Amino acid sequence: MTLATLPVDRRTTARAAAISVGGPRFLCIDGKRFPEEKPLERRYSSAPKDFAGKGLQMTVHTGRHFLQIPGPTNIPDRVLRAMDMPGLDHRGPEFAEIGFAVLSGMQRVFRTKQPVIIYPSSGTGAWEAAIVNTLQPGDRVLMCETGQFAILWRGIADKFKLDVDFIPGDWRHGADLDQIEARLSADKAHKIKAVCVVHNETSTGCVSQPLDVRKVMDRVKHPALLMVDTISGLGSMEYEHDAWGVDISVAGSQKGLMLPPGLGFNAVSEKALAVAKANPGLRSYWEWEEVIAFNKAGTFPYTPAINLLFGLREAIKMLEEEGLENVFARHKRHSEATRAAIKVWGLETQCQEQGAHSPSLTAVRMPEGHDADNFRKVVLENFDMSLGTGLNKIKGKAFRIGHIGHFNDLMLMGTLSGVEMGLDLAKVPHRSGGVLAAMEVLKGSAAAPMPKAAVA
Amino acid sequence: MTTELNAIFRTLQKREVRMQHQGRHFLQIPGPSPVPDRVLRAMDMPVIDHRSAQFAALAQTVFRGCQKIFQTSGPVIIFPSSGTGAWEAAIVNTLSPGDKVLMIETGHFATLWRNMAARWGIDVEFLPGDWRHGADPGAIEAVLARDTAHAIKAVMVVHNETSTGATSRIGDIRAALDKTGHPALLLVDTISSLGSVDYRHDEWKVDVTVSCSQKGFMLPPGLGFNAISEKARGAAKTNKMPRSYWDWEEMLKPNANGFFPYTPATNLLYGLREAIAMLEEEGLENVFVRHKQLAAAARAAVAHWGLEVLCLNPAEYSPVLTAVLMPPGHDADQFRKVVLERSNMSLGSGLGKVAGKVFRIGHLGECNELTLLGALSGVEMGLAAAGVPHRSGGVEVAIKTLEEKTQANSPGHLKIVKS
Repeated sequence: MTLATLPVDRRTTARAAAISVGGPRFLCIDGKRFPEEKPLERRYSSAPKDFAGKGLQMTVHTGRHFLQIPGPTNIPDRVLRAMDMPGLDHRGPEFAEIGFAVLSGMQRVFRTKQPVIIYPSSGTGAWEAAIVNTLQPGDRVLMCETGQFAILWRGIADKFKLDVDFIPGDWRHGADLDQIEARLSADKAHKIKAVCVVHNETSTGCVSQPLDVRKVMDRVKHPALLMVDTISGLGSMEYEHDAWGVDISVAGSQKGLMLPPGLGFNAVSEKALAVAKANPGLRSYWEWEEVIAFNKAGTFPYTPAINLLFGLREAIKMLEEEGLENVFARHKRHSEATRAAIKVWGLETQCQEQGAHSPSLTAVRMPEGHDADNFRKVVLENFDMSLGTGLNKIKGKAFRIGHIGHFNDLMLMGTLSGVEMGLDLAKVPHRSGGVLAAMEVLKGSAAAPMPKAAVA
Repeated sequence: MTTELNAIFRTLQKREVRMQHQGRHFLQIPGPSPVPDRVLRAMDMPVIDHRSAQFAALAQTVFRGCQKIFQTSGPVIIFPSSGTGAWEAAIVNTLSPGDKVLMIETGHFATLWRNMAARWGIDVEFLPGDWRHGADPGAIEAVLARDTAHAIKAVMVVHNETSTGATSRIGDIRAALDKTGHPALLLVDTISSLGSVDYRHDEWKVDVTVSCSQKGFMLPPGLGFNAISEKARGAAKTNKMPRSYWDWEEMLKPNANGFFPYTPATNLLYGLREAIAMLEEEGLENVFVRHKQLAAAARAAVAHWGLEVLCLNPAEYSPVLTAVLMPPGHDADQFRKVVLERSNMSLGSGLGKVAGKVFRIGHLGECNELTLLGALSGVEMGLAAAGVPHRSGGVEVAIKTLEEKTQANSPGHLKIVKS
């Protein structure tokens, strides 16, 4: 008996089912195991501790999981296959070819002629790198509370004893430009060493335009460094490291770059490099200068995450085949269609700022008295889709739909259908028909058309 | 840094023609080691939500598995980083600028770790070494005995010096600390030994064990590990060194429920689960025996060729790799180039002080007898092709060694397992 022939309704809760992660699936119903292999993984629909004493209760899922959190994003099979390769000598000539290819490729993605540093780390590591290379304990920095990720970055700054001026925010707008301007112009002594902004606030779906911040800094002629976290922005929305005068761009592999987590990036301006050179602050792993020196030979000062670099080369290729402009247009179009659905449902987006809606994710407010996490649980159990949770201040009050990375119209429609059916099942008051409205946007000529690749 | 870089530049420039190679590449550097197809396939999976219960089950499995491999009942911390990152984590959690530590110059990696400690403002007493021995427990004992004021905060040792193929006897070093009653922390780098050489974090009362994914764990690079003792954790709690990414407490809080404070390297964790399963299926004891037998065979071949093994103390021969000295007047890198081009095999280069003077044969991780014999054949043919004086027949001797071992003590992978 194969999985496909099992008489299991997908809403049926089977007892003690066990399914592997995405791979060959085995399940077990009422103690009987199908097909016959050992279960590789238990797939719980809520935390394991909830099962204590209840016996294992879980839903049987078939088909491909919808991973619609705003990162880690869906990994294209092409990228997975590229990584699914034996390693090689990271000091040898063949590796150098890969090293040079990804370093120059990342310069094109960041739109910079300056060095891009690639760490074997998470995006959090790349945040830390930006700080320890250029700042010292006691240095004053200006940060903006756009949401949870701005708060976490601030937390790192605190740990390194920086003096953080944190401009408060309501988590429903981008960075407050007026406040930035006010603080910078009041800082006649130029005590502020850096302005740190999150480009795409993944917790709220609000975009802060780095170029606007740069303009403010230029207007008041403030010499601080501009640091931008584009972890969930890069590769899914317009980004211009050089043209926007960004000093340090921070990114990670698991969002627009469509890779598994494990690579952190810093793109650095000449000015940032000079500041780092003069900075006596203690550092070793994150030290730019040493990485840049080794990068000139196509290699790294310590063992790089070789297989992720195989994947990165492939992902850059995919982005360039589609064309970065087309990639950005696609993300905008999906974001617009998502908002059209939300409008029909009668729900509110977390982002309240016109023009600041994120192309890569949409955070949605739940109506009062309804728990967003309960809704997410219903969606996961019934439709095998992971939605992003509300973080910190908006825990339980919002959920997030990721429409970023390896994504297309029909995946979006599946996603929105899952949300609409989930609203129904969880008895969240809404008007149906959001899915149709999204389709209208996708069909309409006002939206960015599907890109056409040149035929070779 | 400059010498190392120049060597890399030289290799790049020398490479005029790209050789066409068929068949599987022999990756016989002492890490990154070949990744088993089982592990590659396990990683070749869609990523999952790292805040989901499904992820928590994965994390808890790998945490428990790592405890078995490190032979500890304490926590094992997993960073998305290289092994160098795990070195840094050990330092910034337990030490502060100005702290005195004792390190031993066993080779290039001990020197790199020393340089890193110096960058963090640590006052390092670096016992000189000849790069042909492990750390001397007696010398460590002497230094500790003199330090009656207990100024030394940590003794930092490399278990298996990847640049020389000499191991350090961690159990004896622990005994030396105990004999002097010195309270210093014991920090051990097992980057190239864990999962290949017997290692006992708890029994040897190691305070911080540093390791990574791309050696005995047979994974691609990208995971760094710290196994930590209660004492180390206590020291970290009072340590004022600013830190964030590497902070143990930040990790341990969410780890308790199977989560991480920031995005973990999910796909490498799939691979880690599979690699641990493979190590456990073979049995750690068998894994260790296999590595020892392969190393003995490699050394037998080297001796027959009339070449010299870099490590001088038989009690400290590495089961993981064998570093071989080139006869004077012959460049090890030129020889390695000939081998790469002729036989599609990467051998390890000499690092730091021994650059150009030695090459290294890795026989770790997924390596088995036939892989080793293929590798040794490549070395023997390469010696002939590069005009390096040697006596042929080393491969035969290696075969004999393996056959004798098989009779005396059947290797793990041939052992009959009772079902």
